[in-house]
Amino acid sequence: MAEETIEVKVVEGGAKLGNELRAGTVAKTGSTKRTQELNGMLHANRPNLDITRARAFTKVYRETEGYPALYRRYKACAEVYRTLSDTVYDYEQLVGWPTKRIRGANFAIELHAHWLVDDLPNLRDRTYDPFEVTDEDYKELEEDLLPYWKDKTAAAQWKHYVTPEEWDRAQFGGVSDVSNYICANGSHFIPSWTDVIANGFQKYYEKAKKLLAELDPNDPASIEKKYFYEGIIEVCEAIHDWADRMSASCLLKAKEEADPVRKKELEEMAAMMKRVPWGPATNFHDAMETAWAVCFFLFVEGAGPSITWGRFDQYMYPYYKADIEAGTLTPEKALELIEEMYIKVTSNVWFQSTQMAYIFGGYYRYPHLDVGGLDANGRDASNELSYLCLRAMRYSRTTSPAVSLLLHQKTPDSLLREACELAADGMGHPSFFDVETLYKMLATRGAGAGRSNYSLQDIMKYGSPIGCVEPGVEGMQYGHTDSGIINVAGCIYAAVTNGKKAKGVDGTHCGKIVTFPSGEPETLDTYEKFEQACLAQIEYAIKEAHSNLIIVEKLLAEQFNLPTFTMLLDGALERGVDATAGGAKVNIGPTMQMVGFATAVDSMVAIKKVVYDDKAVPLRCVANAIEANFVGYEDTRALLMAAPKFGNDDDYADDVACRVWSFFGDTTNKLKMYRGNYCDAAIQMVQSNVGYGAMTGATPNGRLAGAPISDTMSASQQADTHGPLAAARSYGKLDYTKYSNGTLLNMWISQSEMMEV
Amino acid sequence: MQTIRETGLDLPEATYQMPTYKEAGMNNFVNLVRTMLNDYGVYHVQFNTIDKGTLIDAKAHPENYPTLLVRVAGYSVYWTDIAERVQDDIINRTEHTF
Repeated sequence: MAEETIEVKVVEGGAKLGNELRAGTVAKTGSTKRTQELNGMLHANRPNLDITRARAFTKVYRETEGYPALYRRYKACAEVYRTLSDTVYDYEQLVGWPTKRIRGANFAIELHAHWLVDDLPNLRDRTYDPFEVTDEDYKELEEDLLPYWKDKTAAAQWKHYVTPEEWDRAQFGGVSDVSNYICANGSHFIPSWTDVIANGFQKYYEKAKKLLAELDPNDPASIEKKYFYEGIIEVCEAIHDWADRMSASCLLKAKEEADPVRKKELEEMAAMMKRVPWGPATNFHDAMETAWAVCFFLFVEGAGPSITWGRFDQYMYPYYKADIEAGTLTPEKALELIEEMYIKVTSNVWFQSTQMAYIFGGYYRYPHLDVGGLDANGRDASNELSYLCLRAMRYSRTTSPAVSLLLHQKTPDSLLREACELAADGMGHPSFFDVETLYKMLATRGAGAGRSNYSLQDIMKYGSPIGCVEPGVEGMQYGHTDSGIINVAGCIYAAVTNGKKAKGVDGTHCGKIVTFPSGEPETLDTYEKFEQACLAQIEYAIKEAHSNLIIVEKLLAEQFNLPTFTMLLDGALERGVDATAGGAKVNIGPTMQMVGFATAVDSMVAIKKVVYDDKAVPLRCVANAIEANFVGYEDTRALLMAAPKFGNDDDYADDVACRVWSFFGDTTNKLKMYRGNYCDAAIQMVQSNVGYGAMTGATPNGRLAGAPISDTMSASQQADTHGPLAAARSYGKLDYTKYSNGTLLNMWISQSEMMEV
Repeated sequence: MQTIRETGLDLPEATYQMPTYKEAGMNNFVNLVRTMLNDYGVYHVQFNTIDKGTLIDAKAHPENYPTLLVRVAGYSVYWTDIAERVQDDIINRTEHTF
C-alpha cells in the first residue's frame, strides 16, 4: 500500500560541483610562500585517472602466463616502481609522486575492472567522485586493458562462489554488505616506520638475499619461498632504481634553474635521493622524504585506504632534535616540510567504484598521523613535533591527513589546548583518542575473547589508530579493517516485518525477504521475545557477511599479494609469508562494522515503551505503520517519537543500547577468519549512514523511509537533547573492549562558543 | 621542553590569522574532551565546529565557500565535494552548546 507514497529524492551536488568551484588560484594557504604555492598547485588540478600501474600489471601478467601467482604479482609490483613518474615540480622539497599528474589515482585495475568495464563511459561525469581521463587513455582502457582484467578481479572470481541472488544482496541489499572489501586490497596499515627510516630498503634487500641463500631445496616449503625472496629482491631493486631516477631528475632541474638558492636546493635533493629511501636517513629532511615516499608506495601498491603514519612525533623526533641541536634546522623549516607532506598526501585521491562513491564519496583516502600519548615506560611522550604537527594543519588547511591527539591524563594541558584550538578552527581536525581505551582494544585485537599476540611494550611503544579510528601497531599488524557492513537499523525493520526490506527504497530486495523470517509480530508477545528477534536478525546479517568475506580473503591471499607491505612488517621476511597470506605478527580482519546503531536502539526502545510497557498499540500496528512510511499512522508515530532516546544519560534507553552493543561485539568476536584470527567489531562507517539510510525503510523511532540513519556511534540526529555531558555519560556506559576495530563518535560544538566569529 | 606555544613561530608570510578565543568556552571545550575520554573512557571523539548558520548559507551559496572544510565522520572534506544529502545530514545533527 505504501509504495506510491514513498519518494526517495534524486540528489545532485557532489564533487563535480566542488571541483569547478575550487579550480584556479583559490586556497593558497600555508605558513610560507612555498607551501602556499604548493597548495595552489593541488587545487588547480582535478582528480584524474592514471593508467601507468594498469599498463605495468597488464604487461607483466601477459608475459608470465602459467607462472605461480605470487611470482607474477611481485614482478608486476616491481614493474610499477620502474614506471613511476619522475617529475619534480617547482617549490618542492619532498621528492616523488605516485602519479603523472597532481591529484591522480594510479589505480589497481586488477580489482576494479569488473565494474569499470561497464561504467567507464560515466566516469568523467558521475555525480560522486568523477575522474578526468584523457581520450588516449580512455581508448586503451576500453580496447585493451579492461577486457583483459574484467573476469580476473577478486569480485569477478568471488561471483563463482555464490549465487547471483547472494551476490546482489551482499552488494546492494543494504543490510549485510561486503562491497567495501572486495575492491580495496592493500589498505589499513602502519608500516614499520622506525625501521624503514633508520635503515632504508637496503636492509630488506640484504635480508631477502641472505634468506634466499639459506633455503634448503629439499624442504617443500622452499618451493614457494624461493619465488617470495626473489620477488622481494626485485621489488627492492626497483625502488632503488626509482630513487636513482628521481635523483637524476632533481639534477636535471637544477641545471635548468636560474635562481642560485633553488639550484642549490635541487642539488641537495638529488643527493638526498641517493641516500633515501634506499639507505638510512641522516637528518630530518631525509626522514621526511622516506615518510612521504613509503606512504605513497603503499597507496600505489594497495588499492585501499588508510596508509597511516602512526606515532609520527615519536619516530621523527630523534632526527628533529639532532638537527635543531646542530643548528641545521629551525622549527619553521620543519613546519614547512610537514605542511608539504600534508599537501602531497591530500593530492592522493581514492578511486572507488560508483556504488562505493555513492556511499563514501569525497576522494578521501584516510591517511592518519598521531601525536602525544605515552612512551614505552608510561611517561608523557609529547615533544615539540607534537605541537608542530597540529599547528601545520592550521596553516596548510588540507583535508588530509587526519591528525589526532592521543590523550592521557598525563598529556599536558598546553598540548590539549593546542589541539582544541585546531578543532575550533572548524576543519574537523584533530581527532581525540583516549590512550587507556586504545591499549585495552589492542590487548584483544584479532583474539576474540582471548588476548592478542601483542606485548604491552608493543602496544605502548607502537600502538595508534589507523585510518579514522582502527587500533593498530606499527609494523606488526595487517588486515583490511572495514569489510563487512551491518546495517542494524535495517535489521530492526526486518525484525518487525518478519525479515523484509521496505518497498520503494534504494538498492535491491525492496519489499522482499532480505534476511530471514524471525517471526510474525503476533508471535512476539513479550518485549524479551521482540528483543531476541532483533538480535537474531543482527546475528544473521553478521554471519552472512562473514561467509562472503572469508571467500574473498582466500582469493586475496592466493592471488593478490603485496610485497612492499610485506617487507614493512616485522618478521614477515623471516617467516617467508606475504602480508595477505598471514605474514604479520597480528593478522586481523576482515572485520564487522555496525551502522545505524542509535536508530536501531531508539527503535527498540520506542517499541518497548509504546507496545510492551504502555500497551498503547500492538506490534502489528507498528509493522503496518513503518511499511506505510507512517502515512495514516501519524498518531502512532507521535507516540513512538516521544519515547526515551539514547544519548541523554537515561538508563531506560541506555540499557538497551548496552545490550545491542555487547551482542554485536560478542557475536562478531566468536567468528574465525581465513587467516586464523578472530573477527573484530567496529562502529565507524563514516557517512555511510546516508547511503544505507536511503536503502532503509521507515524505522520505529519515527524516522522516515530513505532518511539518513544515525551516524557512527552517535546519538540519533537531534535526539541528544540534554547537552554534551549527558551525551558523553551515555557513551561512557558502552564496553569499548568489545570493539577492537574501533569506535567513532561525532559531536558538534559551535565555533561561536569558543571564539569570536 | 620549550614548545612553540611558549616561544612562538616566526612566519611573516603566513596566511593564517590567530583568532580571538572566548576563554570560558575554550575551557568548557577542553574539559569536555578530558572528561569524556580520560574519565568516561570513550575511545574517540571528533568535532564539527562550524556554526549551523554558516553551513546553511554554504549549502545555498556554494560559490562563496570553495574551500570550506567540514568533518563528516572520521575525515574532513571540502563542503562543496559532498552530496546534498550528506550536507543535509550534517546540518541535521545535534548542535550542542555549553
